[in-house]
Amino acid sequence: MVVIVLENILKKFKGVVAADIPYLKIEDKEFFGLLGPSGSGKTTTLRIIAGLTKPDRGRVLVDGEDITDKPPEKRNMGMVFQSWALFPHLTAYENIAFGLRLRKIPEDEIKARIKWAAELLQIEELLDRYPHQMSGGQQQRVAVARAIVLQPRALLFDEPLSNLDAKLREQVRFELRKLQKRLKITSIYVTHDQAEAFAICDRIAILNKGKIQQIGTPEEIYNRPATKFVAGFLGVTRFIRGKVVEILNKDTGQVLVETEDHIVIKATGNLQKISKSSNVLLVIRPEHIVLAEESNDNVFEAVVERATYTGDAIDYDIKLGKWNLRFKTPANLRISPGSVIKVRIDPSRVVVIPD
Amino acid sequence: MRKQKIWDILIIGLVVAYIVLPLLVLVEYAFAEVWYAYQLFPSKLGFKWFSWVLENYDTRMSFIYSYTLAPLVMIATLALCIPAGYVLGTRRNKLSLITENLVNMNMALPVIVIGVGLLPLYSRLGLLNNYWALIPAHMIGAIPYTLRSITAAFMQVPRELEEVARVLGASKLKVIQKVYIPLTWRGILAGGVFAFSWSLNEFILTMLLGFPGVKTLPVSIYEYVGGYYLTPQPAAALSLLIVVPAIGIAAFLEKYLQVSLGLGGG
Amino acid sequence: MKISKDDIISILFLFPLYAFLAVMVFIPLLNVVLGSVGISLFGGQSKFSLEGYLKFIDPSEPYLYSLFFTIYISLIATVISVIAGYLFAVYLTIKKPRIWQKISTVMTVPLFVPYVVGAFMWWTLLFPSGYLSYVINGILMSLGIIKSPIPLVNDPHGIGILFGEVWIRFVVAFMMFYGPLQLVSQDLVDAARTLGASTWDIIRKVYIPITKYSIIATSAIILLATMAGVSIPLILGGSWPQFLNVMIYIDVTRLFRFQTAYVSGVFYIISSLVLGYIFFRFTTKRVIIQVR
Repeated sequence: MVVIVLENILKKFKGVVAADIPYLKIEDKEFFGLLGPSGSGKTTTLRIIAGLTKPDRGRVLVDGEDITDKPPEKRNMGMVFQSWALFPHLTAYENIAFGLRLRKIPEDEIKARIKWAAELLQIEELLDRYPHQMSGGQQQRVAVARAIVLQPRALLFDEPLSNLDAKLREQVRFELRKLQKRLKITSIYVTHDQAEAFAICDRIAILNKGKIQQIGTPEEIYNRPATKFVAGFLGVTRFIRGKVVEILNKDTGQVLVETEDHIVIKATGNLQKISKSSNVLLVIRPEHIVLAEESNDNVFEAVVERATYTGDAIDYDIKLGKWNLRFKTPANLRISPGSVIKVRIDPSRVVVIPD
Repeated sequence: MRKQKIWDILIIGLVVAYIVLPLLVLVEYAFAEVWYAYQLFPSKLGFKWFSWVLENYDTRMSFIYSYTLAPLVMIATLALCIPAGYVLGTRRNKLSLITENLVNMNMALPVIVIGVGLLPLYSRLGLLNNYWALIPAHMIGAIPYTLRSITAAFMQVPRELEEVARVLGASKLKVIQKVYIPLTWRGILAGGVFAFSWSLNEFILTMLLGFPGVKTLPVSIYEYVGGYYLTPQPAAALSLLIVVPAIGIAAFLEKYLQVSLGLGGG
Repeated sequence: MKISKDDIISILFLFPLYAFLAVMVFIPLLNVVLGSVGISLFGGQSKFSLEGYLKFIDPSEPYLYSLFFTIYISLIATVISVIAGYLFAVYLTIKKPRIWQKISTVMTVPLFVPYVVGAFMWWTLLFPSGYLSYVINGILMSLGIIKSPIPLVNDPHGIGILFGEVWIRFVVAFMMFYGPLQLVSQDLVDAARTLGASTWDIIRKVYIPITKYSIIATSAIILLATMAGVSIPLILGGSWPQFLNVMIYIDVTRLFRFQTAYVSGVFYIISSLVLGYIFFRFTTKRVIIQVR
């Protein structure tokens, strides 16, 4: 079992807090994501787990064993870097063999293990090449092979796909997840790309300015964001500010929110965090808004300010009262800017969070 | 964490001591007015030896020769290297590359070999024991370094600037004044300082060609050690008369004029 | 070939330099090469002969042994300086101690010290009444390795020369290694650590292979400078054996044996060309091996 726990971790660089994590637990065999904008502390946290950065205080535990003072070379964690960090003076084969040779593993076993890893990563023909003779995608596979061939306790990924072009990234995402599920190794994945994290990870921690904002499955953090930051970071989000005027249903959490320009909207919230008269934000995403039929509830008038054609759809910037919102329609529906339309906001999907 | 710091201090301390202690001993000798053989340290410190070397005709002359030759060598070297550096720095053609390689080769050749070849030539021309004839001799070793520095300075000036200035109507002189000088003066000054410093430190050619009358400070220092004197004090004083101004000039340049003497590399 | 105004400026500006080099470098070199076979450019009798070369390789003459001594001592000094300079530079690159920034200018001090002064300084430390002489002889005697103090300068083993050379060359080696070492990406070091490499492994398997060109180039130039410099062996060396360049000096100023001096000069020319070529070839090549 490889369960990784961070306790009371704090790391500052020149007085600025890089990572402040009271508690984080990563489950055995889980593919765990650290997601956030640059400077959010995700790489710092990963490096603390790897042992490359020493925390100012706190502990790192693996299966209950305190490894905080263990140097990285003794932690047996494979790491894949953003730049892949392949040794330029060694062939792919020698790169992968690097760690094995350090452990004085006999030559035929090295050969066998590399063969196994090369098949898994589909790089058998690349083994004799030098890094400068390989494309980015190929180097990335070699980097992964190099990490897994040591049968590490955990795999750490530091934005390994950011240097690849978009199409390749999409393809490799799924392969990485497939690989991890096959190897059954506890893995941690750092990225700033939400789609990537969602495709790869079982659970994700969202970080901002060194602190964890929320931990959950992709579905949980997307549909039930806990803070304004999380809501704003994931997907295309617009906020409407208002006050809770009535609680409609204690079981489902449906509430009525009134904005300062007296628009009343039905939405859903966590009644443990909000109550009557709370100042709240409504988290509204394009998929929550549709063109309305006359008789539905939660329907409002809005003005189309801009229509942007994206090929498969049209993105609209609309104004509801004083609030800017965004929604989408299929490409064949063209609503011109300036038109007044009626839209319905889905009350069961729009989330209310404390302001 | 603390254990690491102790190792750091130890290792760096050792290296710094290795570099600096010999100099401190030199200083100690230079200021040792009274120091008997059985004593570990001098019993009296003072400027006696400095005044001694400046009063003694031989050493005083070598001091004067050193510090008058150096600026002359600097000027002559700059006169040669500035036009050449301009060409090498702004025109990267075959001629430039050949010239650079020639000069670099020159840098690799031991000065003593050139000196030995130069000796009969100077002898024939009656230039031995001649103050002025030492200037070109000093320039030989100075030129590669000075040229490198000046060429690098000119290479930093974007070609377009000269063209833009011309297009805007500047005369050739104005171009030099407003475009080149502001951007290259640091490299040229550094090159000049190299030449100055090279001349101050030059030893073997001066020994060979200036003999017996024209001696510079390094030659005088050698005479005190290579010969029969067993009192190193005058030599120590003479040494400080070279080293201290050199460090002073370099520090001044670095601090106030931001001229880096970028002394790394071949 | 069309000659443009530009070309005229080039030629005009480069002419003084070429003229100077022709008179002050090329002609003397020619004189040395021709003189080695007996042809005198500047008067005196001119007779082609290989007498100088024969004398040089004659075992009863001092030159061969002097050549061996020069190479031997220079190699030792180079090896010590390069290893010490490299290890110190690597240590600073890996550990990055904060004290270093404040002290780094100290490393430039030996560059301001003329070779003569440097040699003299070590003379004062190593001569029989010098501090270092007391310490070293004291330790060796108390360990029973020697029975009475040994000369550490002007000695027949080149000990004094080694001390002086290493002091100066160590700093040069360090500075020539420090730059390239900084260019090695920290990611590579981190990756090696996660793969289980200790600091010593990282030096051996990451830093050294990647900076091998600068190691070769630096070693070449330091070997060349050590063999060529005359001040240090002149002041710190004993009466015998001596460096070849000191032999040249003695031949020319005391013994008036010009032809053998020229032959020694030719040896120096050849070795400088070879070592200089190695140096320039390996510094124009990528200083470090890089991925892209």
